[in-house]
Amino acid sequence: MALNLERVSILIVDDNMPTMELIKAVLQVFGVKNITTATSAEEGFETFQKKIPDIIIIDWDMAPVNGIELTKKIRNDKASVYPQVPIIMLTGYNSKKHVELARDNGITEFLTKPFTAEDVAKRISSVVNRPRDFIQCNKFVGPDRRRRRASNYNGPDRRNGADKQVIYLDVNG
Amino acid sequence: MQRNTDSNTVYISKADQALRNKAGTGEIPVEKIRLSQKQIDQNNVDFQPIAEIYLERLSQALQNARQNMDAPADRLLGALEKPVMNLKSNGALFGYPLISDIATNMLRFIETRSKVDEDLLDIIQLYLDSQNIIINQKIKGTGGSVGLQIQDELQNACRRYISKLKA
Repeated sequence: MALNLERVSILIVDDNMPTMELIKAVLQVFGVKNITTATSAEEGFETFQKKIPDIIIIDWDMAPVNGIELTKKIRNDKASVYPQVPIIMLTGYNSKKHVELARDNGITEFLTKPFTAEDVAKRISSVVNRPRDFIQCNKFVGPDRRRRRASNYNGPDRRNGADKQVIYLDVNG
Repeated sequence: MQRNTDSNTVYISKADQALRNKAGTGEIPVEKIRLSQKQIDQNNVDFQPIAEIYLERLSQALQNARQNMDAPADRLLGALEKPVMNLKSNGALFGYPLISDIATNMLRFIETRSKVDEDLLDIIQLYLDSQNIIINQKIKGTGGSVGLQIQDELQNACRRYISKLKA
């Protein structure tokens, strides 16, 4: 079956106009009709608050506020209208330390530049087809980082330890 | 909605199905992916002025590193990494895959360094010079044999540097 992206709204936040235009063109061909853009993290947050998009694509390397800081604000700011919004982080970095830094700050997917149309399609499909539980605790706010369950894991259970209170919520009504 | 997150409470919201309800499930059709790749391949953005900005930033970072070798290595390396990352990111998107290929190797090389010395800066200078040639001579595509030669020379320089460190 094919995804129908006509009703999906996407916000792109990137201070590099040519790249932003390229992503926009790709998304339009995919069938996304509702695309908004912002050229800085500040403008991005304002637009996010106003439009409440279904997905945000954020470039990491922006100045003066970078994409990681914007992600933190969306996830943690008390005024944030939709902290669970899927965030696709766009970046040229692809070392383990960068991937982990982005993941630990609450991104949903990582899209490495230079990208192909197929790379963009895979990330969009992933956030639509495989939504993840959303975790909020004092050390982390973001989509569940435990994508794989190791059957032989015998380390500490930090989430369900005796000193922890776990509250499950269902946002789907 | 934001929750009060004291040190003992973990809130787990079940996966939000709103997006699935809007878009359904499945994949983006191959034909749409093919058409959008065409948009990427046929864009007519002039990469030269964009590249010149990053090359200038790299040149400044190199100069700064040579003048401040005692500064924390992670700060110097971070400043050198960034323009290389930008060249890697943008080259292939705007008709210069050779720029991205070479920058990918250089970025990996810089990311795995923990100290800055003259030899390292000489290699990055060699990299900068080669990128300037590619941009000034408008060597698009893979660059053919010239492209391969540039890649080989830089990779050999990186290998020699790493071997010297291990010796």
